[in-house]
Amino acid sequence: MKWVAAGRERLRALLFGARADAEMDAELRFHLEQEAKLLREAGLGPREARRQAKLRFGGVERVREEVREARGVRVFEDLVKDARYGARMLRKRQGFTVVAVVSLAIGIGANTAIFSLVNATILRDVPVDRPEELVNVYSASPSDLYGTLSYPNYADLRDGTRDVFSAIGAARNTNARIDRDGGVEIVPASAVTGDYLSLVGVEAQRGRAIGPADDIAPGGHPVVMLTHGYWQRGFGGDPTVVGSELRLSGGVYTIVGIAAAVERSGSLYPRAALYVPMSMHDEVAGLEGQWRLDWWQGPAGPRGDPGRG
Amino acid sequence: MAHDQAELLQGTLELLILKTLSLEPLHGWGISLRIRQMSRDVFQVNQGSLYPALQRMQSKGWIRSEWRTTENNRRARYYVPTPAGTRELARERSQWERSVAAVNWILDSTGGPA
Repeated sequence: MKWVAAGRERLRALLFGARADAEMDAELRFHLEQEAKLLREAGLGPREARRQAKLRFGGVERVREEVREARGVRVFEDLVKDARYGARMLRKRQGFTVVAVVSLAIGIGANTAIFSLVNATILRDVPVDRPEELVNVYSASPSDLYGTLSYPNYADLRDGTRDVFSAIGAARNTNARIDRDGGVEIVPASAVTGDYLSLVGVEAQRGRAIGPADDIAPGGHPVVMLTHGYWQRGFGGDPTVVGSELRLSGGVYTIVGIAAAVERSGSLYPRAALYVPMSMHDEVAGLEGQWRLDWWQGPAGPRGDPGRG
Repeated sequence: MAHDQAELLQGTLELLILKTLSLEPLHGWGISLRIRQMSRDVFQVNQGSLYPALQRMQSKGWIRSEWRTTENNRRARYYVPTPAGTRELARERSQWERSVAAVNWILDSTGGPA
């Protein structure tokens, strides 16, 4: 059982390097003492006996180094040998190899997928400005712990907590129809309350962001802000579009600004192509009144810092 | 005695260690003493070089070691040959004998046509 002995020795060297060193030192000390004793018995004085013993032994430090090397080098050589042997066996038993590789692939893949999910939802910060100051508000019921709020509930919450939160914003995701150059395009859009964009930290790289002044009379203020991605994709990054008009779901909207390249949409709608004021939601979404009842999705959280605003 | 000493041939140290241990388990110092005694002090073994050799042989699985108490109640690491070590001794010994025979054969030759 040669490989058992060799394996045990290797494991020892790996796990107990420090212990192996201590044992080696004890062993060499024993040797020198025994040799000195032998020399004393032959008539040498204690001091001369120790000196001669060391002389006969050779350099203690060099021996220690060589023993260590013999331990370590062996480990590596055997590792290479084991790897070769493993590869040979895998080639020989291809059925087994296929099953093993597929099992490993599925296992690794599943773990990667789960980790990606956990990383995106739990480990990484949501893409907002100063996430530590933001909270998310849900309506909780026995059937749905993380339910959404209706617009009236949002309005009540906003008005009733002005002494607690510096701001409460909300967004609803929908689709918008764009008529341009004789073509029609449906793009994802985010309808946001006046405070929302400043709350999550969406800033304008050109023009201005949609703010409280835009979110006023329902249907009365047709303005739109493009995300950086859609500005690049749909307009080739043309800077002159700011101030121009865009036909959106049948209405004419003024492009007031372009969002910064670092997009901070919150976790709500990373794919949004544009932002419109919440007051224009019905017009953009092509709905009439329904969203005010129970359609509401995802309020953005209030800033937890009452001092700011 | 100095002029009668000889350098130990490369590679023979392991053979001598295996032979020594085949007689009885010994600690490192005991092995060095026994080799000196058996060779009648001919071989000038740098005693320290014994220990790397012992470590290598242990890694190859030819010998194993265990801590035992000596007759004088000291703790010492004793080396014991494994079955693989016993086989290795036989192998190295026959190889040694072949080499010696070949060298002797050359030395004894009376010369011939060049």
